[in-house]
Amino acid sequence: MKVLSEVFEQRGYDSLAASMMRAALQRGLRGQLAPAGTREGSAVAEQLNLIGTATMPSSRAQLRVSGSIASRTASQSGTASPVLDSIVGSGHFAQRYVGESVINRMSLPSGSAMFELADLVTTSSFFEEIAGATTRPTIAEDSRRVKSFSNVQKPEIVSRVTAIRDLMAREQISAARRLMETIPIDALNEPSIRRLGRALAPPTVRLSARRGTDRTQAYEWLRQHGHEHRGQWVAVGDSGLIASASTLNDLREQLRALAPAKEPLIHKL
Amino acid sequence: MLNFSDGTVFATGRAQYLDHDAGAAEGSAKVFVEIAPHGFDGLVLAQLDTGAPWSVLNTEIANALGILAGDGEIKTISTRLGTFTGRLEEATITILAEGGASLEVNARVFVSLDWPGQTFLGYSGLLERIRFGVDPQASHFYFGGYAQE
Repeated sequence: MKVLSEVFEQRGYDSLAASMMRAALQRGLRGQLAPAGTREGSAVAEQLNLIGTATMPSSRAQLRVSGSIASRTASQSGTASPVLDSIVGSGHFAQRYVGESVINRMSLPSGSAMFELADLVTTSSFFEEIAGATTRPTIAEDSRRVKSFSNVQKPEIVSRVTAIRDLMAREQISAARRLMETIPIDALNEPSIRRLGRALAPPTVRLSARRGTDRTQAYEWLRQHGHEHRGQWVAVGDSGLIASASTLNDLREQLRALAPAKEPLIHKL
Repeated sequence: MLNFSDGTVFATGRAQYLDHDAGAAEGSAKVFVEIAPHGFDGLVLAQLDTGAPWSVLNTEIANALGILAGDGEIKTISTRLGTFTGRLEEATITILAEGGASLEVNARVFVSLDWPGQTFLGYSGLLERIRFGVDPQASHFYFGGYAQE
């Protein structure tokens, strides 16, 4: 258990999730990876299957899932519509759960391990990591996936999008991004989903040749006189105030007329 | 500029920051850095706020950038000024370095017609890909990006 605690503290989120699950599997909680591109019942494959009768070596497994979980049982044979529910499982998993989950807590009471995970979302990359795969899918594999995803029922996608928006509302952006990865590629043509994808796209950063200048004098003027212009837009240079206005547009007009040699610092006070 | 002990780069740029909310009655301590929003012909100050889930653009600046009437994802944020509904839009922002290299960030920012406040640099969509540190004695802001292209 100490090892797992160290994992929690020392590793990044992804490796923590994988390590945790790997450790859980080693302790008897059986997991199964569905073959890529296949389906289990009516659920999409490539998702974590926590197999029923998941017993711990010396005790019972306990899995608590809060938030959204799209789950189905094998016995439903693909006829059930997606279910969004909360599950608190204790003891044997009599059913076979297939779905994407936001796991907030997982406890393995055979020992003292207790995991608090706010943002663990199962995704295909997550399972690849658990399976020990180190390579990304080939284009051909991706194509097969897209094909298989085309069979994903619209309600499933809707439920995932709902879950993503719910995660965003709770500012769990990493989790939302992971769940976004499970949205079928062909669904991304849908404007609302494309918009969601754009919002969740991580920022990109690159060096810029543009250089800043010494603002010592401008900052000093703002410290000394800023409060005198509260509510105003000001343009400040090395020699102090260049222009002020109640709106940014007015300030920019003034600046265009004044054409200061050095680009001033603009600030709303 | 600043390196880890193993020699790898931590920060590539340095800028002096304004440590003072110049518009506040009793100048509360803050960190304002100079940025250049692309599409806007001016250099503005933005407050660094690691506690803000998203960056927020001043409404007039967002309007000048032409993203105030965009079609981005609708988002509601809670702030000390109240709760505001707006959209998450794409904006490219350069954090200007006085020493070393400036950093251009293709970011996601919150914009709202109703937002009455200044421009903030928040975590998601912007700071999450930037390493940064401050030297309070010198009022220096050090920064560098991950996966620099």
